[in-house]
Amino acid sequence: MTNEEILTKITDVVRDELDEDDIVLTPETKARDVEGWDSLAHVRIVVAVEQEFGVRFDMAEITNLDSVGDLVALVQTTAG
Amino acid sequence: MQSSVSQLPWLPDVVPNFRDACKALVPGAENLGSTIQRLATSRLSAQQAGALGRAISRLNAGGADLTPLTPFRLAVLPSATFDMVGDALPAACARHGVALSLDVAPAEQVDQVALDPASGTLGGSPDAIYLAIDHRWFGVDHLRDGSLDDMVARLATIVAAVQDRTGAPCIIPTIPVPPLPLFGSFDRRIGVSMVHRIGRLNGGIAELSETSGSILLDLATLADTIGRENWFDDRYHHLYKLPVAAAAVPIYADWIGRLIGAARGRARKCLILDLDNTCWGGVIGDDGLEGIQIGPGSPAGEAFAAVQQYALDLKARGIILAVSSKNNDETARQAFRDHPDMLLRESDIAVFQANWEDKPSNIEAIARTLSIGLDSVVLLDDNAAERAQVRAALPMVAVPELPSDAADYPATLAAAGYFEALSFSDEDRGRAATYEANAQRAVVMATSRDLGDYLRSLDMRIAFAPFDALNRARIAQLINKSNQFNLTTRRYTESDVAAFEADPETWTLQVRLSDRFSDFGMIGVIIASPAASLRSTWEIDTWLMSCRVLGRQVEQAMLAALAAAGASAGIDTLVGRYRPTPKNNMVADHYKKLGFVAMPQDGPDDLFALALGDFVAPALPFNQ
Repeated sequence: MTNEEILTKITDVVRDELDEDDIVLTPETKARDVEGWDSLAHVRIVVAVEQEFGVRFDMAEITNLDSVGDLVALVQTTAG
Repeated sequence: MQSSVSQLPWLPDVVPNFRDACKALVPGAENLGSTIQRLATSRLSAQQAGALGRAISRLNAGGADLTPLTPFRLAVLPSATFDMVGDALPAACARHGVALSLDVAPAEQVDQVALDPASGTLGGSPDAIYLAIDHRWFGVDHLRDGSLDDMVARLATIVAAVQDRTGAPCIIPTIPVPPLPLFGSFDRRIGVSMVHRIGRLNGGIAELSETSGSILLDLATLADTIGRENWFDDRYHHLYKLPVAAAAVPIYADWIGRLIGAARGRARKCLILDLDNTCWGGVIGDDGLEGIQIGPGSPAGEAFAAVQQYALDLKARGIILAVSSKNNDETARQAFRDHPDMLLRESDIAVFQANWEDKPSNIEAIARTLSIGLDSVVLLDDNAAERAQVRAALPMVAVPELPSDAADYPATLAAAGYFEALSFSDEDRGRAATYEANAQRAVVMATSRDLGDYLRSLDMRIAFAPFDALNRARIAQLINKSNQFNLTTRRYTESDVAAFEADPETWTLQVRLSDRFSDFGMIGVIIASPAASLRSTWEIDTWLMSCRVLGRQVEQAMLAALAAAGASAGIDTLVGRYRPTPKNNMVADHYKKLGFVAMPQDGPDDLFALALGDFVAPALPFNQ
């Protein structure tokens, strides 16, 4: 899977989770930039990303996430 | 492959336009409550459950009328983050007939909120209060000697305080055991291991639920059912204080939904059983009494015996049993009367519907006869097309999806939790008996149910071809096996069939049918040839069809093919013959229904004629 494909899927997950179809994500986007992406939404989004890609992240990997790009990279290394 | 219970495999797939359907849930919309329940009765993702839950909360807050859903206000005192379960809860409750309003206290303040007379969470007149606690709240630890009695007493104090404050019952959970044994099997024996201590604690909790009038939510059993390693997720507990794995949330919410539904009398009361390939292997109309598989003779027989045994066990705890089967009444009852390996007998069945009418009408007749609502009924049926038809026509009937292997039927039905109860009285035990279980037949009311949409939705493909060598054996098999939908019951050998193939004067037809659920293979045969003494006339020597494809207008399609072929061959009249036998009474009116006109009898046979000039092929729901 390419990073673009991963980003597209993550964008779908986030749009679904925040119930907002207009959200646009770039690798530089951070959670605090997106309306509704609070700590609870963050949990749900990470869980949903795990389920979407059929992967399991380590705790440390989850706590180290800073930007959407980090999440894309994490999916890429875990799912391949 | 069997789906894990945590994936709720008995629920059908979500409708394709789910998000639009959710957005259409606005005050004043028609049938809001039923639509919500229908949307909830599907395998929702976490996001979908959340979206539906938000719609329900919005509508509740605005005072919308959500009949037939029963309103219920639940307060929750959680010892850990409850949000993910809370998101899934309104949809899960709607699935069980309840419109839920939820008040969740801040996490980790169970004792404070319960004992604080001014707490806001408990001030909203809840109908029940769920104490969402776990082993951490109790402080159960390995090899520590803290008194279990003290732990139970602490919970009892909380329960009493909440009940005093609200006048409403508590829902209290049993405690799943974290999968961290210190020895292995010896943990069970050693008094200070978690396995042993939580086991005793759960005993105390169950007793407390009895003495305090609280409702017991057996999370320990739920966790065991899906596997405790799947229930707990330490990562998310360490990160976010989430007490359970995300994948366990839907079934956790569904178990709460069942209890609340049961508290409001919405649990189901009646199990309607299909017969062929549900209570026994095979189709009794085709295979005969000797051919069905039931009992210790085969693995399949044992699997179906287990289905019957589970039905009997449900009956013993007060669930009413009924039968709805597409079969001749006598043929179906014969199994119950004469087959030595049947576990179910006629006396176990309150209403026994075996006929050729559609299932929704039969289910309505059963419910009417028992004076119960359609929302009290569960249908167990192996046939995906029948399940879809009943769901579409009668959405309030619970119709579990079934896996492909009958060995998994009892567990799937059990896992769905349709018959949850909060108590069990002698009256419940004897309920099935009070329904004069004399296997009575209910009159099916002739509803002009428009099956057109349903038939088109099946996406049926029908294929016509003349007899050929490749299919000769199967054609001969059908000719010799069919007894019920068989107009003349003429038996032919394979070489007879080969002769028909080769005869230029004879018109032959083999018919195959598939739909989006299954491929039925060859399901019909026609043999027609020039009548001996009438010009430009074909007599239909053989017309047979598999009973599995009744009610789909296959007969009309076969006639259209026959008529078209006759017209091309310069034929102007078709003559049909019905030769009565003890088994083919169902086709006595076959030709009349197709528009043929009765002619003088020929001995024991009825004759019918159709003038092709008058025949117009109707629009039919097939893709060819």
